[in-house]
Amino acid sequence: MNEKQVLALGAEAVAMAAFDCGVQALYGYPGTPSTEVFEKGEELFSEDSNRKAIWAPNEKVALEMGLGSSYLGKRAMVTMKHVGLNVAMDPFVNAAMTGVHGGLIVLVADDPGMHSSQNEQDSRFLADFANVPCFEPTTIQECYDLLPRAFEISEKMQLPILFRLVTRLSHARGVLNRHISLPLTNKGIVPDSDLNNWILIPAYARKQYEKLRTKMDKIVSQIGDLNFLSLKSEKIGVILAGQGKANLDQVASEVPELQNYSQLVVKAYPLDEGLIKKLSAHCDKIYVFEESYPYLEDKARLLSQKAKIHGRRDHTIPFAGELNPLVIRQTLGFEIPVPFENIDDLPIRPPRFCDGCGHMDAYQSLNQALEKLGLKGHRVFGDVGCYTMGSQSPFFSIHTCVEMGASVGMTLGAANSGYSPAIGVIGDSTFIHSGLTSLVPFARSKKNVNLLIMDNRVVAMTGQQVSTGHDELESMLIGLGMKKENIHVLSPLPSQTAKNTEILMEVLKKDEPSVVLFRRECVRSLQRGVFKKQKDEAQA
Amino acid sequence: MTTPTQHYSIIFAGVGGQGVLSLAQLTLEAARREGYYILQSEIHGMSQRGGMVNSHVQFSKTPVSSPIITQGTAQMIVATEPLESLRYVSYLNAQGVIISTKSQLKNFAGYPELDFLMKKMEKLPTRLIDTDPLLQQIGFKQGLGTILLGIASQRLPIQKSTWQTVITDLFLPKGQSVVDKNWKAFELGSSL
Repeated sequence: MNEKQVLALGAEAVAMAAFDCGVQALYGYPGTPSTEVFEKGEELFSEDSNRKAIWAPNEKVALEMGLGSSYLGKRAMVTMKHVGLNVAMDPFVNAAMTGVHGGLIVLVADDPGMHSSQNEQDSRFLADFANVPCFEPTTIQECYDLLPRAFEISEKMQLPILFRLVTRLSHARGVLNRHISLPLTNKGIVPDSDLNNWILIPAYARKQYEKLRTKMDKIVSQIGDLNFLSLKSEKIGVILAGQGKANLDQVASEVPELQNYSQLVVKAYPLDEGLIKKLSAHCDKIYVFEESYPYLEDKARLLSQKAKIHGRRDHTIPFAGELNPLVIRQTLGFEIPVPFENIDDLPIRPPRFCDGCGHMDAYQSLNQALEKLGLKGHRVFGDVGCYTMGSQSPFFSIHTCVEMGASVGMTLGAANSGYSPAIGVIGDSTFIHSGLTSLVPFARSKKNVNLLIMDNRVVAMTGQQVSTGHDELESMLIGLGMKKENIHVLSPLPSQTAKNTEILMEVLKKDEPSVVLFRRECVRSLQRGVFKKQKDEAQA
Repeated sequence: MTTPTQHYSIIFAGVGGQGVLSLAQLTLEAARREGYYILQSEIHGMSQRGGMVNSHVQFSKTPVSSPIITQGTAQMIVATEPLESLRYVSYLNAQGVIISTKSQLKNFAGYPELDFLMKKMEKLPTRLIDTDPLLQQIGFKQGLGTILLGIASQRLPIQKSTWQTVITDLFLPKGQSVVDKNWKAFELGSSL
């Protein structure tokens, strides 16, 4: 056995497990708190020319590439943050319908508490909706140990599996035992006998759906050993999953009474409903500790004949935000004194643009242009990335941040409803992620619609990953229908601000679709020599 | 209710770019080498753009399960910025202490006056260090974190030789002189 002890983040533990259990293909789109899974995997895979780790332009494409590798009989893993799964929902739901061939894991990192996200949606609901099993580790070691099991089940049941992390586990650092070493698997291409599984025309799709429901019934017993019930003398029970278990275990190590509580521990879904029924028959009341929506709690409330169910839904636990040991203590009545009260009138230190960042110069030009046109306070549709900070002091240049690519569609929609000039601001990688399709109607709209692309060549916020399709934006824009004369490439530098303001004013006066590329490399990727390194590697 | 003995909980706090996560990792690794169970929680992403950064470090003779420290139980808050030192005081236990530099990092409009901070600190067990002259004394401007770690080490059950090896291992890729300067900063802190 190749056992070695390392220090690792939860995210890195998943990547190491992927390497150690023979994953051949890794795809993803960056997004906190999932990015480190791919990046660690990329580092490990780079030492083996038979493996590939490739950033995709978005999560949908990443999952489709993963499905393609699976079709070829290889083990594949796809990484994304929770809101990325919304983007990948179409292949996610339909990969459950076709089934998979080589094992396919969809690694999704949720963000309870919204440390770096626009919502705290719970991916277990989406797994349930898609009829996809979900694995949920509690510890760094489980991040590693559960993944090979997930691949086994995926291949045996021919189903994709959602492997769920949350921020606190993904970014927890601790000791990990790496004890697995499996070769790359290769089942070969999907055999002729299974060809029709992959053609979801109605006649075949109906059969596949029936198969899928049967698989989901069977899978309960396949993963049954991962969920366990222990009935104790106390008539109080707890249902625990993920960080709910991590937090309760912490409190239990300090409060001996908790050892007498009956427990249902859940590490894999779908859950055998009989376990909830048994627990609820044994207990008078049950507390459910899970991140972040009341998923098990709702199921327990439906199934419980006798026990009263407490959790987020009935506001025993605050509905929003993360669980922590103090919340568990307060909920169960084992409070401890907090000697120093939280100081709640401290000013928040907001994240800010890096010194020398081109986004600041671009926003300055935009603000000046609008002011000179008598349009001070004119609304501008923004998007998701570092440049979202332009919505805050001192710029206040953009007024929306909804989801990846929303700026383009919202700009066009606003123009259709009478807003002129309609202006959107989007980053280059966000544009490639989810703006390209919107640009087709945008370019043909004959409206005063204007898209400012903040082109810094990288996915800056998540650690300056090289943007897919960087340096090729002009030809893409022309290909999508933009007139060449309406594409302007500006350099967002302090020395160019006055000139850029003049050009923007002309652009905004024109009743035609325009795109302005504010192009200057991210100062951080420049400092780190990201492109220089890439060039050197290409030459070597 | 008391916390179990030998469970150490420390919050490292500061501003993105100040090396807060490195201080946490040094402590984590030192505790691991001393044979403790360890767990650290850190926040990446938005907060690293010159915003608020914190890391929870815990080590114990029994396994640590929750990455988040229980409020009311931390022995120490170690802060590389005084405003940031005040953000997590509800985590401190009754005997806990805040170890913070006096040197402010005013990188946003609306940063409060020093008086405002001092007034808050009056009611708190704060050890406020005037680090600027110390950094001048050792001629190493980047030594703020390691000086504070040296001060924190006075209250931690970790041997000096262990600190020295983890500091060496972390900084050696940047050169022996970076190791030496950081060790000098740490030693100065541990003697204060």
